[in-house]
Amino acid sequence: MRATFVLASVFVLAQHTSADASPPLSVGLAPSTYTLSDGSRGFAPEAFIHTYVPLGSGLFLRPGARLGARGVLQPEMPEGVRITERELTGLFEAAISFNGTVVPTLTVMSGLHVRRLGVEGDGVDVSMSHASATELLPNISVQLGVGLPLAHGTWLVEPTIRREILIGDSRAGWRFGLEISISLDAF
Amino acid sequence: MVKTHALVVIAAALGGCVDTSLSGPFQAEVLVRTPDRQYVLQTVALPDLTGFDPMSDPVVRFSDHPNFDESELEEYDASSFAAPSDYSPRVRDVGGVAVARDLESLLTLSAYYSFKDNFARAQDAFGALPQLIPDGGFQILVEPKFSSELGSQELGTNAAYISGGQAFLLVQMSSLERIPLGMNPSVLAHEFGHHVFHITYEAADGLCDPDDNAPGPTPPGRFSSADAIRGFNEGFADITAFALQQETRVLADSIPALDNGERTLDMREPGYLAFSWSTRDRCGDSFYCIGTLWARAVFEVYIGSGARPDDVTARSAYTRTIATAVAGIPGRLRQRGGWVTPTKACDFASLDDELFLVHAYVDAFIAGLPVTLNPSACRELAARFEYTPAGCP
Repeated sequence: MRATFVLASVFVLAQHTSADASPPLSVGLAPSTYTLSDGSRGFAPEAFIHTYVPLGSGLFLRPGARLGARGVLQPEMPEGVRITERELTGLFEAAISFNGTVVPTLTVMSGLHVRRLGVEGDGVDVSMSHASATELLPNISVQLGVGLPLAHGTWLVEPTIRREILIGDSRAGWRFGLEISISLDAF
Repeated sequence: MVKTHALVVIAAALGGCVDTSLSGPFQAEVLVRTPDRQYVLQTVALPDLTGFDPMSDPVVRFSDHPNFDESELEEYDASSFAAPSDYSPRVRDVGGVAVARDLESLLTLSAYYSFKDNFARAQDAFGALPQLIPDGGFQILVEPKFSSELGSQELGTNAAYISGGQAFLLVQMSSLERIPLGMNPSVLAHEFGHHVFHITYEAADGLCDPDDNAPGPTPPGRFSSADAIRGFNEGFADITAFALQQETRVLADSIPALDNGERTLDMREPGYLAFSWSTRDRCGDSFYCIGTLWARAVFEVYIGSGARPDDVTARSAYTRTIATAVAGIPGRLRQRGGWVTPTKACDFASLDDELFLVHAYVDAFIAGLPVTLNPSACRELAARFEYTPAGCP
């Protein structure tokens, strides 16, 4: 399913590229927040690249990719024993967006989280523990956003809400963010 | 080897939160306290566990982040916590051992191991006490939320027992804790002590009927929510921690910042904060202090008998004696005259003389002890509560 989606995006992009050697590209940053296990808010920055493929009637296909990190903030934990979770994330995505006064976007993403679990002890002997490990967690997410074009579309500021499904981690849930991108055509 | 390991992890992830390759008899990595009081993450056997998904045992069920209405807390009974397990810790298979993938799962696995250890020790310490392990088993509530008019919130930095509900709470951990309270065998022994108080004192006392407006001197359950009885309940729980885990400073390992000596049982330990009834404001004047006075006296009676704190057999025999005396207290309270007549059965507020109830409880406790312990119990309790208990010289 994911592979089919990405291949379709690449195909459409290739079609577009054959007609026009320089497809419109934009790059951006997306700070976002999600709920940590203690109920506090975590911070998850991402960097992304998008391109736009016109589909007609103001609709665009927006394939892209993004890299992110999680674990900058950890939930509150006891001093004596802690299990930290830090992640790097790679996602492919494809979105349908409408180029109007605002730019509503529906995005489907899929990729992998590389999660590093680290057990730490303060006055606790963790030398025999096997809790430290690296996990690979497939991700399937759906995101809604409403982009606000600025400076004649050079910049796009897009508040987003994302529903994350991490296979193997039922704690994943809603994520709220703000995507800020700039069109490389401006340079 | 590395590649194989990665494949196993991916398989675990695709299969859900619990690695389905795990099978019984189960083993898990948990936080264990060694006999020399070191805390170690190590592999232990969980012979009674029947599964991880959900985590269950013939006498222990787990509830996954349940939500409760705070205003209904006192109406809960065992039927409120009779649901089957629905909590699954997030674990992976490392050579047949279930290893937690997050701290909450480690908390739950460790607490389960410690509870089972305490249940086994309690059967030695308390003997054939009816409902020591209830017919319906216990429910352990994992990080519950409590709703009130102010909204929904998770409790933090505590462990608890819901009296009557036969349920234990593992609440959210915090940075105030060193060893998480739910991973501390002494704290869990203390909570189990509340259960023993429930099946001894509270079971004998009975439940008050909120609809009973008939006047009577001592309706059932009248005193159980009074501060004095809540205090004696805490003291009994601390003595249980001593009985099961040889613990005399129940908070020391988990919340050193709160371990200021006011709950220390043994006066020989450094930092012991001495106080008596008239100087209990030194202890913060909470109902806990009443219980500490009682528990310290009970501890000193044990030491005064010549028994050693590390003598499990002597501790068990003594604990059974104490539990028997406590179970007889409600009956002796009712026989005592002088109570203020309540306007209704559950009208605890009409009992405005806390000291009267404290003395009545202490008198009734001493009356339930064997005569061999009477002199030292009289001496230790009289010194701390600063009066001459009934039946004492």
